[in-house]
Amino acid sequence: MHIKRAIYTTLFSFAFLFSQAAEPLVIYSHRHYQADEDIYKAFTEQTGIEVQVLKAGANELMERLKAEGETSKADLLLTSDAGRLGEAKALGLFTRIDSEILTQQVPEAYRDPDGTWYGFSMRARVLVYAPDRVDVAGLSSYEALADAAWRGRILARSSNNIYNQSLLASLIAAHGKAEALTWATAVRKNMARPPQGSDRDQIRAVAAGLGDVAIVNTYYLGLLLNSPEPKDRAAAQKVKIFFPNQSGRGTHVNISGGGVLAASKQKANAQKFLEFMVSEDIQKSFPGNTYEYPVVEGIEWSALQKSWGKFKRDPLNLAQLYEDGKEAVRLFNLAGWE
Amino acid sequence: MTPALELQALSRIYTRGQAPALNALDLVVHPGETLALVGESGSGKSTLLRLICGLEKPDAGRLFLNGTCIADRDCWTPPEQRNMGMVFQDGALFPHLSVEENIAYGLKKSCRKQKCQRIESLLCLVGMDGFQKRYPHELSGGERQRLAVIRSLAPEPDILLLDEPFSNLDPALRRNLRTDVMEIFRELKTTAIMVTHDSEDALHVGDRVAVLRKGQLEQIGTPHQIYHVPASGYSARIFGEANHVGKRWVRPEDMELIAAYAPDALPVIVETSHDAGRHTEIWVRPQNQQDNEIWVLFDPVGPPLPAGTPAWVQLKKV
Amino acid sequence: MKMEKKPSDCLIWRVGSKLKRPFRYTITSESDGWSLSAPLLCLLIISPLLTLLSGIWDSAPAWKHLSETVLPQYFLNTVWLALAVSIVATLMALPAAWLISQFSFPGQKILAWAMVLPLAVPSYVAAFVYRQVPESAIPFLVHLRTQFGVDTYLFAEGLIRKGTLTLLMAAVLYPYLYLSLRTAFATQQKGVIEAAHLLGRSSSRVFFTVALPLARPALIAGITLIIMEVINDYGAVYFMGVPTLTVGIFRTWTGLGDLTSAVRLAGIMVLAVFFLLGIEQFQRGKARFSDQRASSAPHGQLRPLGGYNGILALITCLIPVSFGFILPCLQLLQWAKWSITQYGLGQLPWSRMGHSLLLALITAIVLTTIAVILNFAQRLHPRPWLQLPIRFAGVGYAIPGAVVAVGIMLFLGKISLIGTVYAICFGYVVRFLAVGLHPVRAGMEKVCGSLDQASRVLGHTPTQTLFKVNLPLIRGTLFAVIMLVFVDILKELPMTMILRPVDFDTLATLAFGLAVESRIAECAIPSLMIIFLAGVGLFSLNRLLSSSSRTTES
Repeated sequence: MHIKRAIYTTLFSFAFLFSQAAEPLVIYSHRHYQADEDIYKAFTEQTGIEVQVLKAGANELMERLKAEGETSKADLLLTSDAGRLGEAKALGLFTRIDSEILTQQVPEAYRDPDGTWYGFSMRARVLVYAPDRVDVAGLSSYEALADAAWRGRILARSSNNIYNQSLLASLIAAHGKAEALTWATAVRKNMARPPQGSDRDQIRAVAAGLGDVAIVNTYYLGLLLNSPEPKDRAAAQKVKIFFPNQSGRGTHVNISGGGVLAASKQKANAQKFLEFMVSEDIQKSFPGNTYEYPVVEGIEWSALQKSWGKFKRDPLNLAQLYEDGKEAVRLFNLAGWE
Repeated sequence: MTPALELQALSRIYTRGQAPALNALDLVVHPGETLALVGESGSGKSTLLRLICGLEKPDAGRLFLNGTCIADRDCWTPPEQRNMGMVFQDGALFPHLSVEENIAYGLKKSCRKQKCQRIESLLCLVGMDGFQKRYPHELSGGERQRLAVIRSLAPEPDILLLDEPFSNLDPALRRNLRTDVMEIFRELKTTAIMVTHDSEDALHVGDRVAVLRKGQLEQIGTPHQIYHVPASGYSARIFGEANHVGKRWVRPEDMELIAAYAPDALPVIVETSHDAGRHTEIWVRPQNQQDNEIWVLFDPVGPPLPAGTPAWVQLKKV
Repeated sequence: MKMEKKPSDCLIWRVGSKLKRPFRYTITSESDGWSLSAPLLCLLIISPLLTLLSGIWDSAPAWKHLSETVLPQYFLNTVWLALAVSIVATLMALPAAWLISQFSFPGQKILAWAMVLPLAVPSYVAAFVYRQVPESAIPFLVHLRTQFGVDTYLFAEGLIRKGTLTLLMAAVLYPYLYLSLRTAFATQQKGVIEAAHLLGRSSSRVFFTVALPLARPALIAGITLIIMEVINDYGAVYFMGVPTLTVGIFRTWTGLGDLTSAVRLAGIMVLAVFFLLGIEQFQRGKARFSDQRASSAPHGQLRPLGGYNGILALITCLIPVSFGFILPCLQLLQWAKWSITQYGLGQLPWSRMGHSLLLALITAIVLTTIAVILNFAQRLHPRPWLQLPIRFAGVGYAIPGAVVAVGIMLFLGKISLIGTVYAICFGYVVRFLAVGLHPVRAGMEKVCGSLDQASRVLGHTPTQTLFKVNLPLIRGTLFAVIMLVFVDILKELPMTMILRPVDFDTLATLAFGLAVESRIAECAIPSLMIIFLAGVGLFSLNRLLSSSSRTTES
């Protein structure tokens, strides 16, 4: 059985190659942004701590953390949604961290009341509309999109997407399940096409005239406006942004954030990383690189963000997004919003 | 004398609840003899061979090779340790090996020179000298089967098993090959078991012939016994026509039509008769028989008889 | 010798056995090594799925809700998509396979293998490219809406999107059907077809009345594969907004956090696939008969198609390759060119390519080895207690990659192997074993016949027999299997994403990561690398198949 032996030897040697002796900080991240690579590099430069990253879906990562248990090599979990952070906390994956820097810098609404996870960047779920077809006076709130006047005019992505789930969770928190369901059903009926594609695709479709108003995250518009593709830039310039619910509870916002894992063997370094994420340099980099808002107050926004204007935010503590997130998916199922 | 091979109550059941392929079969094969195995398809001939050489395990019973148990409830010798040879119906020649390599495949470790000599002498034996470097697909059907036989003889097996070795060949070739192979067997004093569905093969090759039916031994004996004194209608029919006389089965050529009464003779009436070339074929109806069967007789000399002629039939001594 | 009994023997011999006698002959270690190692291997491979299934009766909070709301829609979508893709793929593969196997026309020789190239294109990559179709239809749709109202528009929008999805999936999946049909047509008894021609039937009549009915088993086998690929697909259906059962599985898992219900959904899919496989098995049973008879028939000459007819044949074959390979590649090349002018050549992902190659090659070899071990053990011991586990070991092919991955993690978590190359290779083996299992079995059945038995009787142990007889004889099949698995693993995405070691990207994860960020142009380069490597694999596979078919003809 020479062949078999040869295969085993090869396998062993490869496994050896991948298990290096040095202990870098291992980050499981759901954030796909290229700008994050630069952040990791900057962290290593500043602290001398090597960083290794595994990028995958948040749920896959959590499933993997559950399976790895105590033996996990991971130190941090970063996601681009507060609901997922709440879930990781509920699964007992996070450990509590007491950091003056974090509690000082991160506003209360954007961190876990129990101190397991902290946000480091913020985005708002807004409306993007075609100014030639939509009178801005007709736009007011998320709730108003349920009006039959919007039939065949609204664009939104699939409810598989966590941003939509969190938006509906915020509506549940504001109005209760029954009204949230009525809203989702009505909005689905008003859609210009069945939910599909990404937020970018919704913006492109508004620009192309397929729909008149789209529900998207702020930074996608920023990404399109700065896209290397001239077509994308042209599309983004055709649309305008609107922050809904300004006269009410405020626009729904969400965060990217992270927490230190309970199984981590180097919690101090992991905490250092989270603190690094809310440091001034990094906070300043978000508006320009990922077009997200910084979570820390007083950090200067980019010119683009300034041009969109200040806006009132829904003060809901984002920990609530986890509580209502599952219910949101059920309501979407009932509403027929794919 | 220890039997070369002994089967005791050997059984093989393929599917539970269905009739066994072999049903408690007892059989003894003597050293140096050639045993022909015949039977309808599905009678268990091939299963028997596969059990003997170890390609299958028996479900019950025991198997002895030269007095040593090679298969029973607690022990089982794998085929590669049984020192048997097997000639498959299709020859089973290795297509990726040359003639030489095919023969050498079963040879125990020995020096190259010895191997070459053995291969050469074996090829000589079947008149295929000089074929060493050829490949199976370059051989004719007869040559392939010859190669299959000498390949299995090369390791000097205790017993050679042949599974319908000539069935894929045309009749003329088949007779030639049969004669050749018989000669080799006699010369080498090979103990051999040959499965065949061809009665002619069986009667010519076998020192003894065994008739299988539904996984059991129907009859075993010399070719003469088997042919002339079939134990049952099944045994009888395998080797050609036979007439049911009382409780016996009698071959047409073992009956004689006589015109006048004689003691032991049986009265019959001619039903029809016609010239069948070498002899006259006569169909008669026995008079004293309870079963109203028609007998067939061959008369090598007389002319056809008109229907309705009364006559007597006398049984020849066999 | 000790009195110990090997389990395999007990299974056969324990019937009423009270008498114990010592062995008088040795039971060779090999003969039991096979019958022991094969079930153990099967157990190892099935374990992750069993771990997963063991939780199927746990509380599934979302199950009732699912079955009342979205389940029927998922099911319907899956069914119509599978049907539509099968039909379109048949329209693409059937005429091409017939023309290429019966006639010679300009380009026929190249097309004979180029038709297979779409297999190199992952369906999610094809979806990146084909997304442009519904996008470019927007002005037309807007026009429709202003002219005919919202309902007409919504109908047309769905039609265009679903049509594009069907077309793109059929275009990358038809080669499965093409391969099986071409083999069937090529090995069909020429005599039958020639006789039909002599009876004065026209070519098309011969095709519909003789060749097609004879090739029916091959048609069904090919379509079965296509359907399995369709119901397993995640990327393309998600991009195109058609929620099938697989999308439902992910949504139930990630959105509702209910893994049990997700596994139940996967269970439904496995049952459906078993049903399909049952049909295929039944058909194959028949096909074997016709194949055997056909193998002895000599190949006739290809009939030349000249002029107008030749060009028509060429176009018929070019259409599917264009949709499945040429067009996507052209678009990707254009994007890649743009990306290179933008970012330069320095950033080519060589290390990712190394990872992809490494994983694909190691796994292909390991998987093929396992397929050989299992099939050989079954030849040695053709008993149901071995046949059944082997059949089940191939079931991973019917389950979405991410679900298999969760099973792997649940299973390996206990021994902290997650995130190693072992885990990911193991995952691939669990998922793709069927790809190797069936061809190796067919190869052994077809080529080895009674040869390995002859070898045993000639004094060689099973292991010696395997290396001296079986393996040399099925060399071609082994290489083909290695290449097929290689191509599959290069393209595999969800399992790689979740099981890979930290800081370990493959071409597929890189391409997908870029596509998720809508950096479509940049994702062209890794996509092209996947297509290139898979294309090389397919090319060498074809070279081998055609050369081996030539030798068996002689």
